[in-house]
Amino acid sequence: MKQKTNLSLVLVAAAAIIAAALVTFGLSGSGTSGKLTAEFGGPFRLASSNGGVVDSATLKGKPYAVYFGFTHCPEVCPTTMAEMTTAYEKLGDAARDFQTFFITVDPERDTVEFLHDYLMTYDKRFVGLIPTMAELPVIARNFRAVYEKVPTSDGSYTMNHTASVYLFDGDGKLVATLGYGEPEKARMAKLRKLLGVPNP
Amino acid sequence: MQRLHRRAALMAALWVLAAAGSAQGHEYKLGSLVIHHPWSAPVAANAEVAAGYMEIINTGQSDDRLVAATADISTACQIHEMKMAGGVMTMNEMADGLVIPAGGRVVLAPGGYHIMLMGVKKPPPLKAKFGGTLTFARAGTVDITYFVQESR
Repeated sequence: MKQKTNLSLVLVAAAAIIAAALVTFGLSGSGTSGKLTAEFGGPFRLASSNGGVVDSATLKGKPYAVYFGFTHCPEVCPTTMAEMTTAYEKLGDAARDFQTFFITVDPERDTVEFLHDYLMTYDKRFVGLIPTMAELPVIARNFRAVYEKVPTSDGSYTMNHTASVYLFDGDGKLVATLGYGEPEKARMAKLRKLLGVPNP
Repeated sequence: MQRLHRRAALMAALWVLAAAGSAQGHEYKLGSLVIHHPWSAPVAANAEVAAGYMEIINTGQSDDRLVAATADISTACQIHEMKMAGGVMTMNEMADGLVIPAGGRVVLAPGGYHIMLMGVKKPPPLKAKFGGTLTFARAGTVDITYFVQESR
């Protein structure tokens, strides 16, 4: 059992390294080699925590952020949401229409209503996206995100998952990622650049 | 006169020590263990999980192990290790507990070890406090209080 867990962790790590390499490759390439970058993430059409669906086609001209997480996450997700909330406060009016899409990797527990109430604790610009169990592997693959269900001793489970925030520009192109634990200064600089706000 | 000076110096030293102590937080002693400043970060209003953090110092000659925990606000607690690799967060339940090495210290903090509080019915707000217990294989069980505070 222990060995099995280790193997699956190795697989997760390997997938993460490949994902990181793809991101790096996509980002480091010049403007002309942007095919991979252009395809990163989109297009998508998923159920929204605000009701209805979110179609990436309607996001044209608006930069946005994407995060994969789940509400039964004790640390990384609340920390990231709290950091993004602080960022919203600091960005002020420039981030008025800047949405952060929280794609749940745990659609079994994260219903539309539950995810809505969870995100509204932080900021109304957080929008939950709830893929079906069939849509989840596809959307994760498109974002080079990984997730894994891990059973816990009480018969429940927790989720391992990619914890970076992806930043997309108004053309739907991935332009940067915010890593977990990244210093606030670096995070704010990337967000200001994305939104065209001068960095003080 | 000299005695007065000495007394003043002693008082000043005590005051500095007390101030330093309160700035660093509260702590509990259990045998040769010192549990320093248990705390928890605020979570969403309907969140069903939270995390507990602290520092555990072992001043003794033998290793000890944190094997169980409880918290007033949750129906169950587990000891977890969180790791980040290549942007992926993985979480493992430490079924055998968390070793507190003799003469060493273990920090439970965001990005690493934490007590995972599960089945939280009503998440406590910022600046609230809640009770809990920690059970160690050698030292036994101690009552603690978590302070709810911002992560950074």
